[in-house]
Amino acid sequence: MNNIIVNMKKIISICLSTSLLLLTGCQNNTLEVRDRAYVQSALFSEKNNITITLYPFEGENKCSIGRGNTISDAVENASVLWGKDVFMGHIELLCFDKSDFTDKLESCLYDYRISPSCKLIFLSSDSKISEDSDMTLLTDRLIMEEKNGRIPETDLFHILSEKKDDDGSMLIPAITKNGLSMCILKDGKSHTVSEKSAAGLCWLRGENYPNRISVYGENGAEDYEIYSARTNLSAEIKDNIPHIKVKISIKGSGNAEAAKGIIKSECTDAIKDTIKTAESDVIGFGRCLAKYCPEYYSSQDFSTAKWASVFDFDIDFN
Amino acid sequence: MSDFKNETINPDLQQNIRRIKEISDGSSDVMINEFTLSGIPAALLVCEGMVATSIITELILDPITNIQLSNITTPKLMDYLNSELLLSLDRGEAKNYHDLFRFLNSGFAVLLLHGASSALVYGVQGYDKRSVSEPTGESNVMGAGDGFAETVRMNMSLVRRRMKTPFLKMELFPLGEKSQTDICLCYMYDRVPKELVSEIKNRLNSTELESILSSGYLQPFLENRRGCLFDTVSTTQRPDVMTAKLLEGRVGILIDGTPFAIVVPKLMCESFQTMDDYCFRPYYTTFIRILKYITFLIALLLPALYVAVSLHHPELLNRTLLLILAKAEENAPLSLAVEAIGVLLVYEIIREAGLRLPKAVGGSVSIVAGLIIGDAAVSSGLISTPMLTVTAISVIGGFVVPDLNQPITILRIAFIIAGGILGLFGIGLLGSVVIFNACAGESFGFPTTAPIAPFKRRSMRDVFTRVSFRKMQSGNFTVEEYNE
Amino acid sequence: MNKINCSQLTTSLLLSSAFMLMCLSTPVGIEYMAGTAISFAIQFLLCIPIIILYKKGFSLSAYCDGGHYFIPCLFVLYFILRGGMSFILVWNGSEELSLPFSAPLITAVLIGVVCFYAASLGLSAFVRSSTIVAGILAVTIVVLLIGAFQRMDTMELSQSTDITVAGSIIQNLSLADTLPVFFVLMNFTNNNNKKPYKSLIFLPTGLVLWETVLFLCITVLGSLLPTAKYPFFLLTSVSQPFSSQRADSLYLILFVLLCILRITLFTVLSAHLLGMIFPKLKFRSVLTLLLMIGTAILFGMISYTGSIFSIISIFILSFVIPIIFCVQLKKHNSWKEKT
Repeated sequence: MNNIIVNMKKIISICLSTSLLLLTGCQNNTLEVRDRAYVQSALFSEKNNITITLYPFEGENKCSIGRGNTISDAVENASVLWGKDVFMGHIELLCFDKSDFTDKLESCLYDYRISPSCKLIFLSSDSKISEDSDMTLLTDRLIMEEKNGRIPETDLFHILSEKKDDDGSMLIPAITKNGLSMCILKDGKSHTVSEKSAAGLCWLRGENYPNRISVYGENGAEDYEIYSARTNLSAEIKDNIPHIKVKISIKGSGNAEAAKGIIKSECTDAIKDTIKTAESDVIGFGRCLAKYCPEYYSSQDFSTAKWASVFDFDIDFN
Repeated sequence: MSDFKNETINPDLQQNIRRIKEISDGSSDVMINEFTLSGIPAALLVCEGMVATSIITELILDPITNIQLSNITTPKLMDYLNSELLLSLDRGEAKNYHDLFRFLNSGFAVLLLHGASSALVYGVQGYDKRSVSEPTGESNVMGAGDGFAETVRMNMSLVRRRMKTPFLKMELFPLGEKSQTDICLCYMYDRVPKELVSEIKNRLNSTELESILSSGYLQPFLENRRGCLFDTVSTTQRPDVMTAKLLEGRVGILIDGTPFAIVVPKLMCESFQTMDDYCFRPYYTTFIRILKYITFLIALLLPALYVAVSLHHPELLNRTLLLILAKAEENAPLSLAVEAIGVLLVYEIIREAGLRLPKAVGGSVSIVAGLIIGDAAVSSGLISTPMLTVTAISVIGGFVVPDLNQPITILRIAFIIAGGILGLFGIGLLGSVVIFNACAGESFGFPTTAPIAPFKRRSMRDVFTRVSFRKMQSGNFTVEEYNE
Repeated sequence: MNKINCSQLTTSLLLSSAFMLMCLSTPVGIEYMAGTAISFAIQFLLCIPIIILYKKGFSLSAYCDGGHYFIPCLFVLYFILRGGMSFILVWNGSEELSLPFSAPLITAVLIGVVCFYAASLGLSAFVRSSTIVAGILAVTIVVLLIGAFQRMDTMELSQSTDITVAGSIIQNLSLADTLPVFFVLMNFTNNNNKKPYKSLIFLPTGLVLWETVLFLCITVLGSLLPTAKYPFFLLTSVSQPFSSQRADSLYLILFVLLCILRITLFTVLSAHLLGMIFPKLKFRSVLTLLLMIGTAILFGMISYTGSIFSIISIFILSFVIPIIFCVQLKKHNSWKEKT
């Protein structure tokens, strides 16, 4: 019996080795590191069919343009120009000029193994990115804007989550004729928010905050330094109207009263711009209502209903 | 030559000497000195080079040549020599030729008397031997500086000096049909599992080896299962290490002619322990221990992970690192997996060459390998710098746990092949095989992966960490706790 | 076959359950979490007859020695079916993972070969390995937590879903194939007569693991959850312990380890029971594995999921049969006392 087992083990080892060798020789489609082109950013545009412009990392080839009926088709055509297989797993920035492209975001995450922290930029009709544009610089600018609390932090994962929300509206950084801003995409329509509203959205969404605010006091312009901040949303129903309370706690130094005024004004603008004008909940009021007033939330259809909430602001300074 | 194993000593001295010459085929080193002792013909046999001339003269030749007894018979003379004279501390009696030759070739002086059917033997060993020196394979900073030498009795004394309790038992017996090597079984009889000792004795007695020239001859007989990647028998060059292990209820085997002692059962976690660990501060030892475990994984998996991730899962690599790698690999003629295996094989060739060559030449091999081959290979683009760095880190990592160097070397290459072909899936598959293989390893019923698997919480104090002796002293730990 | 201890039994069953968690392919929500908790409570109740039975000194080996082969045959059949289902889970799961090849049969064969090797080393090696893999699982969960922490939003817990608690209980019970395994493994534990209830620790441990991962899935994935085919795999792809690169491929190693452990567990137990039934039968592990792969191919062809069958079989094997044994044992003991 032992001999049989030993022989069996030998047979199994031989089978294993053979299968591995076969895999290496015949079925191995492994791409070497040098056989791939690493894409830093991609621009998707849809005119007649999908056009994709792939931008390589610094020091690599020039950008490559591919056209096709599907994304895969376009990517394949673009890869021909480089003479290498395209690897999109390290894309830092995805730009697109048609809001329909958001339907393909899921495929980017699953099929092209794009990082969920990849940044997205929407190109408004009055802006353009050329083949010679420095996409690395654009990415860095976007990150810096977020870091400074001028625009809310977003990435592929955030935007996909917003898309899947009941409301379905997405807050996406956008390039307009005035530079970097934010826009709301909903039902194929885009709405660009003002610079002030974008800053207010940072306070309301509570993911990134500015490090300082310029305020005007008795001594003229001065800085209010922000050490840390926290946003808390709560809701209650009064007279069948949701009252949403936004509590922003800030630790900082400087003229707090003046800072409070600015923050409140930015937040009011942001709410006006998003909830009232664009009728889009990109702040997360829906989730807040679902948490605090679940019965009310389930009784309303927030994908179509217009928001008629009352908002309270409470800004604390420590 | 007829078999002399059970042939008893002939009372006739001349026939006796003739038979001895016949058995030894007139070997030049067997010296037979015939003389009369109070009128009885006698002969003193020694093996040239095995005895100390001064000792034999002082302890044996002088006293016995001065014996002047009247009306003496052989039995009376034997009795006199045995009971009245203390010619040597190590005395014995050989009843047959097998024992006679064993004593003779071990450096004993053999006294044959006409009319006696046994020979008296006296330990007067004086052969040249290497003195106690620092162990080369298990260097440490703060532990003892003495290591085992080749002489079994000296090694026994090194252990005994550290453990004066009578509970330490040393059983000396010959093994090896031709070599008749002295084997010493050491254990603390109050701590060792009794079944362990008897099982080891059974295994040793069942060996049919002609000679035992190193510890490696006995190791396979003490291992339980074939196909185990990791050793289930440990060796040490250090008497302090062996003493510590004996205290934990293990059995040590000293073999004459080799400076390595075998210790069973072996646990894999012992490979990560050194004597220094017990000299340094516990927090530092804990840090070093954890570092060693991490390094073991690095030594085993780093090149494979590098290859698998670069080839199959590049999204896992840091962006900057990936670009550096892509640039470095731009002109490399070989695939990444082949490159990694090639670098490792070249290293193994250089290591083997450096090890076997004389020390003076070994140095030049390192220079040629390190400077010329390494530099030339990188600058010619044959090997990329990141690959060389990764393999170098892995190889150096292997030195941190020298005990596991053999499996690491083989598994490292196997993992590269698996990772190169099947990516992380392959590494997972091979990893499972290695885990199962390691967990199946048993040394006399003691799982080698204990106390991690099976998990023993109490023992964790000296596995990943090392608590202070204040806590450890109350443990009374013996390895029997791990028996399954 | 060596005896195993309580912690080894726990880790073996926990890892088997963890694989099911990884391959979970239903939408989850707070209701699912509740359903999971209730289903674990039900599993706890189902285990009581098993505990009582072993407390009374029952031995499956002795039962087989008595020439009773029907029930062991049922277990063998069940284990082969579950092993086959595990292969299907691997095939389906591998679509979500970045395997370097797409042929499911190669995956099955490679896993089968490793499982054969693992099974040939016996139950002791298996249970010891499970301890090490449990350590790897713990480290992975910690890494997952670190990666997921940034994206965690407890507000998502309040989002309503279409899932019902009752549906979740049924769904979860159909995955509770550790219970029949528990019944057979108890035969090898070394503390049956002392504290058999200690062996039930695998249920609370499993519950903690399930609830932790489900909590992470809900709070991290949020609105993406309803569209996720495999919530765990999506969770790994969005949890980023590193700053920018995704790390989901790393979990492939854990997936392979868990899958091998699970199939090996079924193989070892089936082979052992087959050995009791047909002592002269050779290559039992190979036979079992081949039957599992065959079952997987068959089920794959007819797209069989069999959750109702699963619940019924779990109920029969882990509740009805132990109760029958308990009654028989009681009768036997009372007859013994009388005589």
